[in-house]
Amino acid sequence: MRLILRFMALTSGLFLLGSLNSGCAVKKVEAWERGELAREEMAWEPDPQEAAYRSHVYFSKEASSGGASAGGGGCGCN
Amino acid sequence: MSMQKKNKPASKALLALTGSALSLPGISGKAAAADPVTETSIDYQYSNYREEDLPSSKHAGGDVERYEIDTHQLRVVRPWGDSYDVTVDLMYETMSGASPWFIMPGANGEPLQVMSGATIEDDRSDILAKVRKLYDNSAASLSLGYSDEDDYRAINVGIEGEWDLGSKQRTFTVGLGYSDDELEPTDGGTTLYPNRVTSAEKDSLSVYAGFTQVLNARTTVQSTLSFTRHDGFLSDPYKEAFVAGNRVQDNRPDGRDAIAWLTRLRHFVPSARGALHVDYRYFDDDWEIESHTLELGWHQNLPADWQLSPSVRYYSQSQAFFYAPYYNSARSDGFASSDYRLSPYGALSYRLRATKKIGTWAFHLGWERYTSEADLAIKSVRVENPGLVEFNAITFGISRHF
Amino acid sequence: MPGAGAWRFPFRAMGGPCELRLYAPEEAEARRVAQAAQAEVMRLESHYTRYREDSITSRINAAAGGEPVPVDPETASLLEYADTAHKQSGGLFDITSGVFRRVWDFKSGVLPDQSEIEKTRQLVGWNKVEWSSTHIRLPLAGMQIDFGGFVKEYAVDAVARLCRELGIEHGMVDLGGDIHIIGPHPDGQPWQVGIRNPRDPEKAIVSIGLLSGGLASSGDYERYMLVDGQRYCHILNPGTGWPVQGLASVSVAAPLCLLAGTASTVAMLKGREEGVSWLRELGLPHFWVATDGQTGGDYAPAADAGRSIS
Repeated sequence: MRLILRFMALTSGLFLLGSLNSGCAVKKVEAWERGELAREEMAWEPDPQEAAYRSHVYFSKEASSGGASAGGGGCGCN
Repeated sequence: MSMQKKNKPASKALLALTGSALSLPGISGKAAAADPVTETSIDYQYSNYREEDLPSSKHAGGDVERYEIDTHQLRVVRPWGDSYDVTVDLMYETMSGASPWFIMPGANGEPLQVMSGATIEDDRSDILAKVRKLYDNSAASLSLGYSDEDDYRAINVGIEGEWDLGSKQRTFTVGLGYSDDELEPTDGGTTLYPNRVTSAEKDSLSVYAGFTQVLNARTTVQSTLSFTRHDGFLSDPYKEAFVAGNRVQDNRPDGRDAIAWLTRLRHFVPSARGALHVDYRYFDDDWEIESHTLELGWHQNLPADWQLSPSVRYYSQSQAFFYAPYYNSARSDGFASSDYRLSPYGALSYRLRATKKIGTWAFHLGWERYTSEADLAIKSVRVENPGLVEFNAITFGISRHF
Repeated sequence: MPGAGAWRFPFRAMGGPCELRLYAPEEAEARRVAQAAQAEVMRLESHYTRYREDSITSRINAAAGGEPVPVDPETASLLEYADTAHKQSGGLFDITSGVFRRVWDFKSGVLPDQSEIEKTRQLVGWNKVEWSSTHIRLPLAGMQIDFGGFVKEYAVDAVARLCRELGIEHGMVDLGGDIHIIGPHPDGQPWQVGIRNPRDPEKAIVSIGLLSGGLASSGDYERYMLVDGQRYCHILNPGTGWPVQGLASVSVAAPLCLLAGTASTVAMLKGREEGVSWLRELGLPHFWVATDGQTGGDYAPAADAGRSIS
């Protein structure tokens, strides 16, 4: 129960963060200014395959899991 | 000479023309949300993971040599028709080595790790396929995965949607995932391991939602919250705990609820020709495990299409409420586990990756060194689990796009 | 020293001389970017040229009076842009007006017959075209569309964006005089661009310093003939079928070269009075030269009183 309440509190916090548009130093970026954002090293995962491997390793060796995606295999990793 | 006259509202005609110009692919290039995949790409990666031997001071029996894992991965991404793309990920790994079995107290009461006697040799195959459909301002994807090992089988399914919330500067993502796992531990119910379960099941359901925001032409930030519920057999069938002088099967609650909050930042520094990555994850579950993960990375562009990326990762977790290295008396709820993965500790890892591009090919070589210690945890730890792991991993990859 | 240190890559495309000037730590890196940029220019040229049978333009024109032709998303976006420009210019920007080139022969020195112009006028009119986000149909046989009036400026912007994505921070793209600045010189200095004197095109009438964005010009000196001392140029009013009068050249600076090109072309089409007020209303930095020699705009050598230069 405590966890579900914490989840709800964090969800509202996230939506609050999300609605901080004008207050959060957001600068309008024109389409032709996006060149740098499109660079490979600016991606959330420049190498998704390596990221999947690392995530798999940490999941097997630590107690935590979860990130920006669901799905993906479980394993009986010991 | 400045570009625009100041203090003058843009003319209607100019706004209309600019708006039209933005829909031209040559002008807008890639969008923040839902980038269409325009070319086929194939990636292969080989990784070798090797854990350090258990130090003799912590060792009380069984093999000191721990895990070594060789992993091969193959990934194919290709566009399909006008508005779809498909991704297939294959993974095949072979594992060998001993793993922690149970902990017993030494002469002075210090916890000592007993490793499994026989070296485990196992291999695992995993396939994940994802189909994504792109719309004007959104995308939806469906993924299906299957994982197979000698003693373990899992099927998972996931769906995800992302929406552009306005001029491609803010994106909202939501997803749902379900996994169904079956275990058939080797040597379950045998004379050697009479109390080891012969077959068991568990499933997991997770939901997540997040925002991505472009802050300026060089900075983006993303925050995602996920909730997962695990149900079923969550104990480790190969581990035991030392309870009041006797060995008992690792026994954990049959449910676990967890939340994870991941926030990340990407910032490009043009004068240095490099990008800064900052990732922070907060994790909390109803086993009372709370963890913090902070990762900092720098991606440095170098001449001749080389790139060097050093990074460092700090991790700290608290213990599960039912964990103990060993027990003087049984718990009233019957739970028992001395698995180092449920113990309190911190971990620090250093990584270095080098990438080289040649035409449509790319090569990368990476190395990571990971160490874990009770001293590295945020809160002080009284007793360190002797089974904490240290490993080195190297990866090598080849990619080609068409 | 501005310009020294940028790697230069000249080539010919889109009917004229082109050049990329890119700053990069090594020539090999700049060359790789230049090759990708050139490939993109060639792709756009071969896809939209009138001179290849397999281009989308030729296929659309060959089907005039017949079945609708399916178009790819990029072409659909270009048609949408042409439609917006048509609306915002009061019908003066019209990509169906290319058929008039059949009656205007600038090499002959002879004016066309008014009846020929009348006949051709029946085939002109963007309003007549049936188009959607997936198909286009020219309803009358003999009708034609021509992307030549704006695809070069689009290519300039597309190439500049591509260079930026490939890591170029400082440089300039020049396709036959249509320009996009990728970024100023590494020391922060602007690129100096000369505007041709419409009555002495080998010489510059004014030099403009640009830190970013696009620059395009339109003028009556590119293709024209003189008949009885009167100049008749290739920029034709789609409504009358006759060349424009009043302005000799217009240059506009805008965040996108595509916008700059549309602005300058429409200004030429509107003529002296309306063209100048159109430029002022748009609010983009500009420069114009009238046929009587008068100049004006933000970059004019002598600023008019009351007009501020930013």
